[in-house]
Amino acid sequence: VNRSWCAFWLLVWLTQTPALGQSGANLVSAQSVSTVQRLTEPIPVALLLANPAGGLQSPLRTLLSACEYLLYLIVLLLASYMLRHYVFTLNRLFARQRHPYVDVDTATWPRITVFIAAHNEESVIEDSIAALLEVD
Amino acid sequence: MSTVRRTASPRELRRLTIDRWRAEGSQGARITPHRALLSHRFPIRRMRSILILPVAYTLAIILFHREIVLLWSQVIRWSIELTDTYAQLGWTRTLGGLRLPMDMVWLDMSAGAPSPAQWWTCAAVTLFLALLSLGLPSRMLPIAYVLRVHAIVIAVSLLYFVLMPNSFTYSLSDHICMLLVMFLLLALLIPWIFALTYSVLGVTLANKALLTFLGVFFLLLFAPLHAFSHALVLHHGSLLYQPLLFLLMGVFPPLMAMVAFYSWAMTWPRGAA
Repeated sequence: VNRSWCAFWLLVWLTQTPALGQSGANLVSAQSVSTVQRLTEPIPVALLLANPAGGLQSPLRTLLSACEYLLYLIVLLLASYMLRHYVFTLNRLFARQRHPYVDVDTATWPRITVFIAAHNEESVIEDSIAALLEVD
Repeated sequence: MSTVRRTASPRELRRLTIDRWRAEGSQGARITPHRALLSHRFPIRRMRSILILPVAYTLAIILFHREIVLLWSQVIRWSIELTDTYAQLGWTRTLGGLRLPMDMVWLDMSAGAPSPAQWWTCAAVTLFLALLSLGLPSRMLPIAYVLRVHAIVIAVSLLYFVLMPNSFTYSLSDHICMLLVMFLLLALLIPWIFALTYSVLGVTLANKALLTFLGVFFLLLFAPLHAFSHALVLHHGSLLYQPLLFLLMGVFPPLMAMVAFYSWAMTWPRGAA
């Protein structure tokens, strides 16, 4: 689990695009922060969907794009797994819990049924069953 | 019951008797159902209290996210003045994990590649931690694993700065910006996580509201302080520590805090839910 977690975050780290900080050259000083400025325009969502790595073309960017899609796939798988176990948890918490066995008086048994009460009888049970099968 | 007795068939009577015997223990004591068969009730009206809190918090954070980021910038500016650090603070538009444009704090502080002294010091400490993890007793195995993970991440970073010191694509400002974006997204997620894991239980609305408030309030206050502590480490210790800070010290500490809040909330009196 630890290895998967580290690999997951390593992938997150690798695929975070440094395009986040492209506005770094246009800084305002600490004194003027009260007058908030919008320094960059948002990138159109359609462009980002078409090229998640930020619009830069190079073999490295292509590799990073592939990694990013792989990351989304891993996230999807993890989310599916989490959802599955969440449903299990809700079922255990709120659904009616059933006996793991069938009541003697509610089950539909054959016309002739033989019950064998056995506990720690692994050394003799085979002979007992064999003897019962030979009963005419 | 008398009606049942008058109209019950012999088979039904037998069934009722068996049911009575089934719940009857030694000396007439009642046998309670085994805990494996117990379950909670889930009244449909509980859905309202499950949904109302996360929806309200989501709307509030989306509507006031600029004010939240402004608050963060004020806290970071206060931290800059407190530590007497040379830094510039600004405002940028960035993209969150969901590719949604959002306004975010932009902190500019100097942090470069490690100097030889910094590199060798870090390498010595990393080697010491790795050796220490090998020498710990088996009962301290979790600590040994934590030390090894830290040592591996730092070792990769050390190797990177030996081979390609000038091609490191991240800066202090990028890191802080990414971290704050993650915190904002986490603040959006936390009310939903608590709704799905805590509010579904039979607890009072006050408990649900208090836990959600604690989680979100803590995150919003913790985020700028945590981010600035990262900035100080990178400023004084170089970008060598960026991978470690991002991978292991980023959202892990607040997530652990959320687990702690959840555990605490589970000990609160349930009251009449």
